[in-house]
Amino acid sequence: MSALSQIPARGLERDPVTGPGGRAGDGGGTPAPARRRFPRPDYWSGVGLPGLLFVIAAFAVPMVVVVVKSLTDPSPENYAAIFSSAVYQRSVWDTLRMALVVTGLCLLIGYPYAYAMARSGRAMRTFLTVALMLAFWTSLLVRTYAWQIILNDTGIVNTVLREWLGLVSEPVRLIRTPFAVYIGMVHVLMPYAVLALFAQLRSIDPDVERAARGMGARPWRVFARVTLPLSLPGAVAGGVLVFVLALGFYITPQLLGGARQIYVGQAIMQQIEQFLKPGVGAAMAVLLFAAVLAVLAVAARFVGLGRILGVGMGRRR
Amino acid sequence: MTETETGTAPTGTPPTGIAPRTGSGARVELAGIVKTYGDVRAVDDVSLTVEPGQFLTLLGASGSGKTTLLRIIAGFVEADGGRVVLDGRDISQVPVHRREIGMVFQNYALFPHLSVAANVAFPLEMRRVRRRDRAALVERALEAVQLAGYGRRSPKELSGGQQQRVALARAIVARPPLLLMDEPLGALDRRLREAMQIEIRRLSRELGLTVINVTHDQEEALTMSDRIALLAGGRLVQYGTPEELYGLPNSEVTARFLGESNLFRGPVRHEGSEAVLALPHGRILVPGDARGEGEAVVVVRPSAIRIRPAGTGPSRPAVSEMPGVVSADIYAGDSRKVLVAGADGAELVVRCESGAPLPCAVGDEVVLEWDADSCHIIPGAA
Repeated sequence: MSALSQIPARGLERDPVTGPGGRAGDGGGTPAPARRRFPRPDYWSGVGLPGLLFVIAAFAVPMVVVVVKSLTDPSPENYAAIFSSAVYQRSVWDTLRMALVVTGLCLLIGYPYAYAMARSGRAMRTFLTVALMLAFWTSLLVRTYAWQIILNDTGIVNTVLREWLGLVSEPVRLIRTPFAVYIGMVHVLMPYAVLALFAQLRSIDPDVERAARGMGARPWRVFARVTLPLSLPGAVAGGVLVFVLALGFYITPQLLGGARQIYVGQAIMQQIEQFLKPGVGAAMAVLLFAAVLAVLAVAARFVGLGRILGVGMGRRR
Repeated sequence: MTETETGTAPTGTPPTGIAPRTGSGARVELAGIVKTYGDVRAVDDVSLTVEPGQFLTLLGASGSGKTTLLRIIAGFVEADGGRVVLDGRDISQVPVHRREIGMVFQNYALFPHLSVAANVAFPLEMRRVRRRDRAALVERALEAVQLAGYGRRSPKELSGGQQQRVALARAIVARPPLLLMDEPLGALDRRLREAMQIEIRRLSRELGLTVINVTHDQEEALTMSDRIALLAGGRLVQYGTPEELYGLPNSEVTARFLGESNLFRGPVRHEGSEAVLALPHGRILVPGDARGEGEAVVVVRPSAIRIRPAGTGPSRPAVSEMPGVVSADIYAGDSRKVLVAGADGAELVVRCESGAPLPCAVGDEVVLEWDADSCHIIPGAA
């Protein structure tokens, strides 16, 4: 099931670098030409057929299997079992809180980074992009184990605090806490937020900021009244993406989190592996999937789905 | 109080809360402005003065330095040398947001997330005009650009011309002493552009604004300006009224840039009481006092030239002549443009009235003639 919840993430890893020239016309002053709703069939789109077949075989079919299983293994009672389970309900709230905190942190830390990327010169931008992508290109597992080593009771942080600085006598409890999960998750998910914000910031016409300056706005007021509001669609797009990915995360909470916080991804795994109730696990997965779709549907009303899913694909028109 | 009345209002505390102004624009002085990018001198020692209320156009091809110069005046670009003086005050070191200069951008640069009214109110907000005073000022500025009642719309709902008007209203609402415009009409179609030219000119006169406008369009420069500064390669080539630049170009660059022109260059030779250009073909008189020794360039505007068939005599005494072969005859509505391959190899342009019949056809040998005093000499062209 974990692989299932990771699919959107993997799909988005292709070509994540937004080209420096990829300044789309969104947010500009001129009205966008109305796009045709039903374009004539484009036979070239046939080249997408193998990919479509793969998606159907690897995603749609298993999804149908999961839905069927959730209703028939042994019965739709699976759903009732979930809603009556206090443990599952707690894990839902824990998951929501975790996803919200991680999303907030990603945007808070990611915004200045994206801003620096958008406003620096070519060389600096390349450096910042590569630095961001290095994290992206490293295996999720490796990064998560690295955090384990860093945050362990005998890890780097505690060694420095205890042996070098002598600030504490007992090791500070870092690993197996929500804190460790937040750090690990932010590390994994922040690039999505940064890329969405970067694309949005780059699409802001520099003349609009110049105009504000010329009209007597101090630099910070230019930011507050012009740059920040114009970058909000990027924040929504990046935030939704991070939130949705965080909802279904499994590996990082499993390796860095404590036994007391069971997030939904782990709860699903537990049902299948420990309690041997694949039907209940499947029902949970269906609900998680439905929640993700709901979040996307709501967000799409504000910023357009293409912008959320198009993160890191160098939107060009 | 209407827009026009404010222009002559006495210096006092206006009820608006805007810094008191006499209504007239600022005097702008540029002194030795220099800006280099790498090895390129984008602006090369430009000095000029704009009197209050004047409309100056910085004219030049792309890469002439006109936009850089405008950005230096606005404060977006820092000059390497020289001073920008506004009403006697050196503002070279004053940051952009404290220069209080109005600016119109080529792509309008409206705030897409704010309504039209909020866009226009922005400069007032930044200058801490009281909220209840803003609405009236905004409405008056929108009236001035004929967009009364559009305040609640989003800029995205407006046409290009309307957006440009909003940008204009936003630039003038706080009564800046100086209005800068960076190719403000470049994105509009011809008809709209001409209408806006007239409107901008009317507004700037009514408000007594000093305006500095950047364009590469010589027609726009000639129609709108009190003064034109022609720039080429970062240097100020000629500075004067439109009439001076068109009628008395001081260089080949000016003559070529402003309107069509035929240029003849050669050493001046004296023949009795007359001076002519010593050229292998034709006979080009050098009129007036500019008959010093050395080389001279004679500028002849296409409309000053008459065409007559080869082999006939001059229609008047004392005309300049140049033989050639008609290579094209282009009908252009109110006029007719005839291209003639001159005997010296250069292509010459003639403008005739389109009503009158042409005394020749393409391929005919002809003689071009013009009165000696209807040309202009660029002196000292060595």
